[in-house]
Amino acid sequence: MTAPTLPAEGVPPGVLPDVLVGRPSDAELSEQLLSTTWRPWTRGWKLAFAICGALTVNLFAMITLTVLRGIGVWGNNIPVAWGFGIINFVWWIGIGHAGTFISAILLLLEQRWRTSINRFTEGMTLFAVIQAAMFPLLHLGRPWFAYWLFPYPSVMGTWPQVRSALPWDAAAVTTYFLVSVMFWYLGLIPDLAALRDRAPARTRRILYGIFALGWRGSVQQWRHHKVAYLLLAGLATPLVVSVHSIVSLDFATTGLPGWHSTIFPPFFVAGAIFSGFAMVLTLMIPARRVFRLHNVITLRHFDAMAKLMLVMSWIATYAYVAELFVVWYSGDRYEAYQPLVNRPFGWYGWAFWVMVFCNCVVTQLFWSRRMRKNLTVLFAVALLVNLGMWLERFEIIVVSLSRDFLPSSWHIFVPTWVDLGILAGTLGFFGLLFLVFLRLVPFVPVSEMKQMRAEIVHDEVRP
Amino acid sequence: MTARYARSVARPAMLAEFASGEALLDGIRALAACGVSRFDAFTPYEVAGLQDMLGVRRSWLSWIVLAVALVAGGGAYLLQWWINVIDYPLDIGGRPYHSAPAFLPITFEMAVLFGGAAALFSALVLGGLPRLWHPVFEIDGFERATIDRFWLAVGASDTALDRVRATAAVEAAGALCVVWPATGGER
Amino acid sequence: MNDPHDHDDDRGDAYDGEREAVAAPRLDHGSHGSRGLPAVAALVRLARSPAAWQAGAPELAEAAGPASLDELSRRAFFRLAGAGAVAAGLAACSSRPAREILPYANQPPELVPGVPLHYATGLVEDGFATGVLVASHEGHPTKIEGNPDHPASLGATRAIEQAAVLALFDPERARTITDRGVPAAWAAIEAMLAAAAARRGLGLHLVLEPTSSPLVIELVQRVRAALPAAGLTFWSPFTPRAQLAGNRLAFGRPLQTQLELGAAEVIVTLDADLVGEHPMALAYARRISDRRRVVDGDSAMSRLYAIEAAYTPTGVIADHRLRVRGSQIEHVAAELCAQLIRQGVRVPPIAQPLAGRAAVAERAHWIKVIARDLVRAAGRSVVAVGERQPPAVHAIAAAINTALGNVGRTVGFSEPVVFEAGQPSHDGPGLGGLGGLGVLVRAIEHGDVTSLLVLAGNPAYTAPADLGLAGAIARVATSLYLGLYDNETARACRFVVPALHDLEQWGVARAYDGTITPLQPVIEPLFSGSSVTDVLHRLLGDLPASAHDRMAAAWRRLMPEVPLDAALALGAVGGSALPLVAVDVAWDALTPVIAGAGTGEPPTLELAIRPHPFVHDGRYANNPWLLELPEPTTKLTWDNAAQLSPRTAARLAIDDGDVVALIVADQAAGGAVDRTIEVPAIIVPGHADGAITLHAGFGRDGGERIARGIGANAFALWTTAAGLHPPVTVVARGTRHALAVTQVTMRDDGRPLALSGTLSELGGDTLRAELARHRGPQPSLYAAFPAQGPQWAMSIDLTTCTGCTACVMACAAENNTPVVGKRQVLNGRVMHWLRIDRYVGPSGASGASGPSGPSGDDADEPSARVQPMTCQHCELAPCEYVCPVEATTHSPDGLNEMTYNRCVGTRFCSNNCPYKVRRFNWFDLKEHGGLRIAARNPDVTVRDRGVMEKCTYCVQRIRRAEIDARIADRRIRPDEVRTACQQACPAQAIAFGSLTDPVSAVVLHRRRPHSYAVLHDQGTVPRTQYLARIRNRNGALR
Repeated sequence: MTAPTLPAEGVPPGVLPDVLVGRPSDAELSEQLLSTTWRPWTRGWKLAFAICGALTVNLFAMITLTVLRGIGVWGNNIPVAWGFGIINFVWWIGIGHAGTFISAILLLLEQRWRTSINRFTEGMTLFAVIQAAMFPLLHLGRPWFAYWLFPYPSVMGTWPQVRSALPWDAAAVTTYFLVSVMFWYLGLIPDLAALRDRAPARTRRILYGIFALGWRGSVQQWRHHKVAYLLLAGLATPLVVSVHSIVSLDFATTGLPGWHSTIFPPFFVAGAIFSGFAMVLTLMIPARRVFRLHNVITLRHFDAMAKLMLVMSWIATYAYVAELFVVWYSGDRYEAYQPLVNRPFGWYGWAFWVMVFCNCVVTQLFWSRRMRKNLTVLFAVALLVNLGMWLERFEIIVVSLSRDFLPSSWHIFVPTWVDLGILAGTLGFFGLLFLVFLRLVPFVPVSEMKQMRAEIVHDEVRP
Repeated sequence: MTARYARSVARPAMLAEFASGEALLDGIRALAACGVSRFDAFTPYEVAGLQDMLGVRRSWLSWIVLAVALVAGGGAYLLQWWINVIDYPLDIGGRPYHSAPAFLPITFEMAVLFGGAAALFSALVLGGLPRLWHPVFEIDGFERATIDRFWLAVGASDTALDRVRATAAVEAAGALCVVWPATGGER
Repeated sequence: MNDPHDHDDDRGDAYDGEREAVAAPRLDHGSHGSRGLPAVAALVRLARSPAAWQAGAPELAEAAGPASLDELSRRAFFRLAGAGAVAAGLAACSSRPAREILPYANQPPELVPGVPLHYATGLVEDGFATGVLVASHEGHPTKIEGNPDHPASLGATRAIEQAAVLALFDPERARTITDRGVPAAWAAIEAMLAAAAARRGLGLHLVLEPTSSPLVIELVQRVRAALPAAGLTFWSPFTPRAQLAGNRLAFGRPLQTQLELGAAEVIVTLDADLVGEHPMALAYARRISDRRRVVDGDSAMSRLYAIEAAYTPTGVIADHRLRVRGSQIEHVAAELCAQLIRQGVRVPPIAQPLAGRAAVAERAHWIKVIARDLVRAAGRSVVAVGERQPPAVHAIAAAINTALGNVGRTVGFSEPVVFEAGQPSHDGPGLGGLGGLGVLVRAIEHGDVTSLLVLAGNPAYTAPADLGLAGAIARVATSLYLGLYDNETARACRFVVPALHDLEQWGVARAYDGTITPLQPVIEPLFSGSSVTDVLHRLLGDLPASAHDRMAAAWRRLMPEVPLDAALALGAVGGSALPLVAVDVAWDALTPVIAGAGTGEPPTLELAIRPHPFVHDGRYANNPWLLELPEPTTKLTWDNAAQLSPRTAARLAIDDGDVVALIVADQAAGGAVDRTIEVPAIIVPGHADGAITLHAGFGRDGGERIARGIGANAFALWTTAAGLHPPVTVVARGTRHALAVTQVTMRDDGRPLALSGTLSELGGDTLRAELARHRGPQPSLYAAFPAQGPQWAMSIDLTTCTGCTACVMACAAENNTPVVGKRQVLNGRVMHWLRIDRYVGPSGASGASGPSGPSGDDADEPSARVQPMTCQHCELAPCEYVCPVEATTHSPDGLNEMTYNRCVGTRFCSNNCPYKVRRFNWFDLKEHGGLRIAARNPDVTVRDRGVMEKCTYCVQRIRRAEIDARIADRRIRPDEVRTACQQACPAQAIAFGSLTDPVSAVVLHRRRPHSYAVLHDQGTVPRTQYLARIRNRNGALR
């Protein structure tokens, strides 16, 4: 089939476009969306792949160094025993949450605009969780014993200590990753079958055919597929809330001033989705342009996501303020010192104010519809929010640890180039996985799009 | 209308290709009018109303998931209790051996994990997957069943199926083509 | 951004680099030839000795296979050392003349593997001996404790003694005789000695360290007799000189001041660090503390006034501290003297005019109050003066003590312990004249010295800079140096003879009070070392008999009444302290001295050079334990720095870590020469204004690889003419230097951590209520766990703790904590299990009349509070419930236990520890191979990379006591278990025991009204509690 015909973005100013521009036929939709997997490689994609590849190599070099020489090649010290490792862990796992939020929660809420972007974001979830999952292992003094966190009949008769939040983490992250994979794969099967039947090269057909498991869209298959998909969405919804709540318990269950806070679970979940949406935008705006998908990913989508980011930004802001009030109200001198003195005016005061700007101030642009529809602004803000949310974790972890109860043990934390290299490396590795994903499977769910189109047409015919 | 879904359309006697879901439904109605009653359909996406027309009840897979989730969660809690109270009790910061609140997160996660796995795998198994080859794949043009064509199938076991009347009926309903796989001369 | 592993040669890496060198010996070691083989050879020889055979121990001889010490594995070393020692033990059973060294107190029938034996011996510094007990595991020393029966130790040690065991096993010690770096034999040296001895010693000069050893003295006198033309100089930079000169002023002859602080009710120190720097510091700290153990508000408590420039440990425990720069203390002394006379202290009429002297306004009130207190406690008071004060001040103090009737009660005078102390042969700078070394250099310049024997110390480094001794030595035809290291002096001399470490040799020395202390070797010489007596004997042409025989013979001659074995078993000869002599002040001679005291105009900025508390004059500078030990006042490691007060720093516009040039004009050289060193500045709240204190012992450039290049050399500013407090100019260089301090924040931010109050407040309700808020039961959701057996707990008395840091060193020595190097210290990764927190400024628990420190709490007059901080063994330990793998758990006897093998290194426990006392092995920090591992305590696991570690309450000692109790079928006695820190503490500020034991010291401590728990409100229920710091304030001051 020839190159797909793209309806232009005919949007009168002030009017939001539909979630689907034009009414392409099933064939056109299939062609347009499936062809992302076999279209010729663009130069931009190759360049991005090269950069991400280099960063990934660097990542594994750094990991090798860390494992060979010991965790001391990082900047961590006493009292700041957790540094970049845990910051990156929390940041990445948070980013994952937007994916599940869009693909699961919005599905249950029957938000049509999630359809075209859910696989994209779900993929983002998977790759973000992969980045996150590396850190709990890497930051161990003896990573080769990480399996001691899981229950198995040890010859010493020892078991994990489940009063600690870390085994909870292990369980939550593992579950989150596996359930996300299953959810993602289940939705992918019909499209894999389509690729099996449509892909140009025979080898591709065979490969896709294997992963399609012989799907033929029979009544029976659709019947169970539909229910299972909804159930997984239903399970993923409390799961996504639980995961970052449990991550927050790594801190909230301790007595450390700045960690010892009951507001953390909801605060962390909101922050996670906040940063996740920022990352979705960061990835989607370029991808949409490169693959010319303006008709299926429309300004309507961006508008919705911008509004959600505004909401999340306010939740985060509320959490900051609430924390200030609580510590003041508690009258605990150690608790009060953290947010009132240490964070804004301590060794890392600059980081605090940058964070406030990124997470609370700049997002206020989205009160304006014009801004919500301006992709340049969206992209810039998204980047700032990514930074801001990383700094928030820095504030919580490093800044709180650097000054706790006894001033005698206060000590500053300075990251080493290994810390920075690993952070950059995970960004590259994440990008690498994502670029491969874009080329490997249709990142806009074809079958779901066709069904949605049918429903839209159906509604239009019989209002 | 007596159309119903045939549980065993492993070897379809007749298949008809339609250009849209609506056309597919029309075809079913037409055949049902001829007394044909054992249908199956292969569609690129769920066609609204198809399952109702064939009288397919909602999948009972939810109950499997519920059962598995409950067992997994209960098992996880029991394991934690047994570890800390029976097998190797230790004084951990003066906390009680049976620290119920601390056992809950893992309990919940295990329930979700195994429940999710149950959902995926039962969906596949109940859908007869994995099965990489199926007779219908041999039919020319069937590959578009995942793209933009809607195939109707009638089970070989359907005694009411008459070749001439059925062909006429579906073509009248807008079938693009009708296929009668060689089925050992069964009529 | 610090780069984790570029191995440039900066100071932080000195240690790391050295470690590699030990693991794989390099050529410079090789050039020393035998590479430690002699030691093994010695052991093997012993193991193969007929004695061993007669004793029927062939398997020992088998065990002692040949090996080279450097690639010696830990096991192999134990086997050899063990074989040697066992053979020694067996030889004792044979009929041959006794060679054995005698275990302390009771001689065991045999050596029980795993059970250390303790041997009594002594460690000598500047001629003064400190009695110690050396724990010996299977024949090699692993730990040093104080000798309770020795008057200079009373069971305690300084950090220096604790670290001596590592110095013994220092792989960089000189290993073989060299002639200009080339291995040589005794023959060459004997030829030299013969030549030197010819012509009745003409052209021969000997330089010795001040000595109190009867053996050495005897030999020196024989040398004097046999070689009357030979020159003799005793040199050590910090040996007491001013004191003896001052007493000569006061009494007409050089006498040594002996304090009986146990009887002192009021103590006034004039720049005298009695509990830190004094040769008798351990005993003095104990005596002072014994008068200051507060039970409740109406306890009797002595009162201590510290008048000093730098903030010393004495200043820390003082009730009142007055900051006065060194050069002005002379004024204070004179003013005090005058004030006393005005207050009616009886002095001969000739001294009456002194009363006219008026005090400087801002301290007039102080002087008056102190004088009143002294008069009140006349006969029970002490005025003590430090070594950095001129003779006049010592003389004035002597006069005051006499006039107050303290002499004979709290103050006594004895003949000097050190041979010829106070004589010209001991002269040093600061007393006018060139001093002994100056005479030597002159002689060398005139070509009068053809052969020079330097038999101890490191004069080429420690001599006043203007003498240019190193260059002078190089001009001497033949020179010989006997020393432990290839140091500056060794490099200036022709022949270098490796010396024996104190723990390797037979000998005798006297404590500061004169108590005779026999020294016995606790291990065969590791290298082919010689002692001073060896060399002197060879100089006299004696047949070299064995050291033990010589000692036995000399002992029989000198002390026929005391059997040597008994003395060795005890570690000291009881009642051998020097008798106090009757004195009376020569008022007529003294009056003009007092009248003229402190009339000179003070410089705008003056310099005081003090011995470093751990490396002293540099002799211990190659010991990584001591270099990484935080200096008590500044918490500085791996460096020395110019200490100055905040106000002075502000005036000079310099900040912590700014590199400054210290410039001292050298008048002796006609003011032409400016002597300059560059050193980082460090601001010390409480330091006197207008003065800079600099520790000596750094800036070494000898062959010691660890000491080399660390810090700046204070002796480079020390000139014969400069006096004790030379004027100094400070120029900021504009560069910065990273100071590896272990405590960055010294203010406690108003937090109630190291609580303090005054004795009178302790009687009242406010403070009691305040303190009560920091102890007692805390509400908890959890039912208490059943306690089995003893319940271990600790109590630390902040009133008597001086912050001397001996406990930290003891802990490191006992528990094998690794040294990490400067860069890791900078990155907050120091591994000490025990640290001493120091808070200056306002005290935490502040109420209207709540606790507060002494002498004001503003930035200029801060009160420093020290608080030993280590694992508190919380009953509801926050570290335990966050560990995901049960690596840290609670034992039934109340210990917070670490299971190293189970630790995966999440460091969650450290994050949740409110006291931040946990330490993490960021790298593989332990040493592999090398000689130093022989100093490890075999009872304590050496931790692996990636695991958490922390204070265990010395669990190995607890378990040992349990085993002993089980064997003897008895319960563990109260206070039977003593932790390493507790045992080392001179002030006995640490109590340890079981809460189930109603008479244990820890229980008694807890009953006191000022016992409290740190961070009590966090509900961690710590097992370690503190006794708040109580000051016996004089109401008349503020």
